[in-house]
Amino acid sequence: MISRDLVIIGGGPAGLAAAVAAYDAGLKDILLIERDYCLGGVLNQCIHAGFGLHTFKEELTGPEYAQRYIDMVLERGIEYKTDCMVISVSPEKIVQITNKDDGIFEVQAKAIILAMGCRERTRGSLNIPGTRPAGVFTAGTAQRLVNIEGYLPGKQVVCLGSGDIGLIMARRMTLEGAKVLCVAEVQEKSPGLKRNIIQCLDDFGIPLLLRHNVINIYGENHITGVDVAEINENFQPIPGTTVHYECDCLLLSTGLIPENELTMGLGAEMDPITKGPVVDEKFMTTVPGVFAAGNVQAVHGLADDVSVHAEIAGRAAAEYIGGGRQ
Amino acid sequence: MFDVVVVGAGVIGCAIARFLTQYEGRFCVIEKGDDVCCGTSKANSAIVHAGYDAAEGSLKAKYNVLGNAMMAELSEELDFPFQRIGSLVVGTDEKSMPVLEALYERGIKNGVSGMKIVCGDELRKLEPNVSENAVAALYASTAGIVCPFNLTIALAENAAENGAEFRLNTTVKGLEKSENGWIVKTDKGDIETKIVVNAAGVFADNLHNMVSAKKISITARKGEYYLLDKSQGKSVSHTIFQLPTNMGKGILITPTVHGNLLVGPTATDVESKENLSTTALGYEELNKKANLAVNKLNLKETITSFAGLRAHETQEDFIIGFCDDAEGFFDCAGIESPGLASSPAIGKDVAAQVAEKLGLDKKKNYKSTRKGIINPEQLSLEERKDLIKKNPSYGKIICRCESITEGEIIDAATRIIPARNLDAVKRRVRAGMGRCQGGFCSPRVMEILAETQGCKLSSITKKGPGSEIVLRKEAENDQ
Amino acid sequence: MKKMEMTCIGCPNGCDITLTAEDGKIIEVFGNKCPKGIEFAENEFFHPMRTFTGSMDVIGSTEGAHTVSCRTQKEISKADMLAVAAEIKKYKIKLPVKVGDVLIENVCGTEVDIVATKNVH
Repeated sequence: MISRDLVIIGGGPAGLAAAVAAYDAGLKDILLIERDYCLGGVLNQCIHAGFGLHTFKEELTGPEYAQRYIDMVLERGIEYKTDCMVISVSPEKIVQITNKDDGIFEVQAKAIILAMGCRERTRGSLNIPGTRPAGVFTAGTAQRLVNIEGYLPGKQVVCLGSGDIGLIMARRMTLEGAKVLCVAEVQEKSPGLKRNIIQCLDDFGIPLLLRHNVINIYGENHITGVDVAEINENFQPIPGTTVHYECDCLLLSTGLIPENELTMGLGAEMDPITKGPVVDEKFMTTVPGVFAAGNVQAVHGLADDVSVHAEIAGRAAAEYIGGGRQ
Repeated sequence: MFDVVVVGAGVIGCAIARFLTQYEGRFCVIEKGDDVCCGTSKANSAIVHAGYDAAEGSLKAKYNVLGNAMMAELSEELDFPFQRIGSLVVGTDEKSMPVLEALYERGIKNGVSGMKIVCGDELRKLEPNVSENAVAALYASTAGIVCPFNLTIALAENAAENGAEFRLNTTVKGLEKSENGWIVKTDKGDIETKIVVNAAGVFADNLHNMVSAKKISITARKGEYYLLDKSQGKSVSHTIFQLPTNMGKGILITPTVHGNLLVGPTATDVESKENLSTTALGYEELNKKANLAVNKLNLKETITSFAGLRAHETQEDFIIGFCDDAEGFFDCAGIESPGLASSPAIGKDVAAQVAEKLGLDKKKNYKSTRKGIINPEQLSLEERKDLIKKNPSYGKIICRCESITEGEIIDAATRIIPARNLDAVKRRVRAGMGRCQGGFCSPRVMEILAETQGCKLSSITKKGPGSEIVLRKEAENDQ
Repeated sequence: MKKMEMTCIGCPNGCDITLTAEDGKIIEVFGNKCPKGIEFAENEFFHPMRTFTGSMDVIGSTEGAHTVSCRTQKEISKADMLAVAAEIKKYKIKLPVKVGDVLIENVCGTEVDIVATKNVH
């Protein structure tokens, strides 16, 4: 079996920052695992600006921010493998990995940093009544289709949820020639950043409907429209407030959930509030030597914050192994 | 000229086709959807009922008990998941005892074995999570759970391997009597056949009423469901029914063969036979009634909800047999629950009746088995490593939630009845059926489909023509 | 006298800024926590500026990429955003490209270049 001092699972903002920090703290025997064909994770599809103000004191796009860290990983010669999926992690810190070239292989680690990120809440868990047509996307999936694949999810768009990805996608779809009819938000206040409401909605005259929900979805094969209604304090639709929007696309930006299947398989104690593992001030989980960094630990608002926390985890992992004391 | 045209590629149509291909002859299945298993067969409780529920002497009772008995062997032959986990009808007050006893008596008359009424500790030992209010339950050891998609697909693939022709995206527009049988008028042209078998599900009355003066009437009775995350799959270990009502068997809770938990269905008659909408009222009813028979149920772990339609016929029983006033027209209508459980028996019996009428001989080189799509997770580590060595695409995981590899998706997309759309892939290999509901894998599955079909991403659909997922960006970008 | 209320988009703080002007001249800007706020407010008053970001189709990728992400090197006039978005669709970019490579010079006559924001092979 191959062995490494540190295995980092996930080559997004958290994994990259953790790898660099651990290396700089003296740990050289590192393996970084990424499931996509290139490093960078979700930053690759976050092509908008707004990253790096804290870390690099300038405003970068997601891919540029990722590239800074990728360059740091390359400069240090940190070993990484792309196109690799981790199947399981055992409490003995054996990481089971699969890819096309090597098949299934195992790596014995002394320490592990979990940096798998998060996933989006889906239509299924929201219990929106209606049909099951094509044209309903989570904002992140739509973002990938537009920015990475180069296709358009629709031309008449309603967005449910005003999280930052939803706001960013409302602008993105508008720039691609789609008409965003409205953004409905069930809360009294948008969870998105104010700057995004300004530059993504206000700039293009897209209405933000607070305390509104999508209460029905229409269309057999493809979505043809949605009903949007005002809701009361119990989140129930207020009769007489329903407005029908004809649309060919519904985008959902209703929250992110840390992706912790591997963490749970490992037996780490979970926090029911954050949906991430319970961690100490150095982001170590209840399994000694296993750390959690970034959105896998708790959903962060900003990538810069992810980097800061991941660096703490990276240094702590180095310290745990003893490499940090030289 | 076909010997038999089966209209409808649901579980009944595919079962009939599968058993028909045991005989010499030319058989064709036509289906209006883009795939087999697109109607009622894809959205139901996935239960192989024991058979105590249907009225004594009914066709429902007969085929249910026969079908249940065939299911285990069939699942071996055709390689689809089936588990005989047993069921419990749970009574929560003293008044339920006579109802349970009546069900038991009916079961005995229907020929159901392995039943008993259980109470107290025995009940709680069987099912620790049963409601504190539970006083007694009818236990039926022969009840089981099945993957309705792979049951139907397995039947269809086996039929196709044995020479049956499947014409998808083909809608019947009319039926004309011909000298030797029927001309089936479709939107894709005329098809001549000696016999027509009506397995058109909720539309079986439309088809029947085209040829017969004795009209039948099928009402679409909608059932809404929650599907819960695999973290909840072990909440119960049996299929748990509440006491039946005149609208059906009430809201059940059951593990699925894939380890999720299924809760439902509601029962509402609806006007439209295409109406698969979930409703606020449906959610409300599920929330209210789901946990009547069990203690702990975490509905917050719902990963999706869906609705299916029961093909409810006014006479309350299956209609199976040659139509009196339309020579060569065979009905399988009103196949609602326990239709899934009954399907193998209906398929076998209908095929035999039709073959006899046509005087068909048994086929000599009939292939009774079919291999399903390899699931690497069910292999040993060594076998899995070997598989990847032979075919590296089994080393690449596309759907993370369900651990589905590229190899499985390519297999699904290139089989004898290929998966052509996202839902068809999902039914075959579960990519997109997990907790992220395809958020991560759907763009990647679309790419694989586009590659196997040699088309652009913009041609890939969710569930057939008209459900294209993305548009090409408007571009004059050919500079 | 004219009062303009706005939220600065310079950083995630999102300062609420009030700008007072008379006869087309700015008299006062307040509410900003940093100098960027003043620049933003002035721009919003005279000629609102935004950074455009997008993605462009590519040809000849050795790693299976379909697009390369891009941006305007500097802010452009807010009014030009949609025109730039339409313009970049007309191109297919030959690979490889690196972060910072100019993909379109002087896009739509803005005197600003479109540059790549990602290394794509």
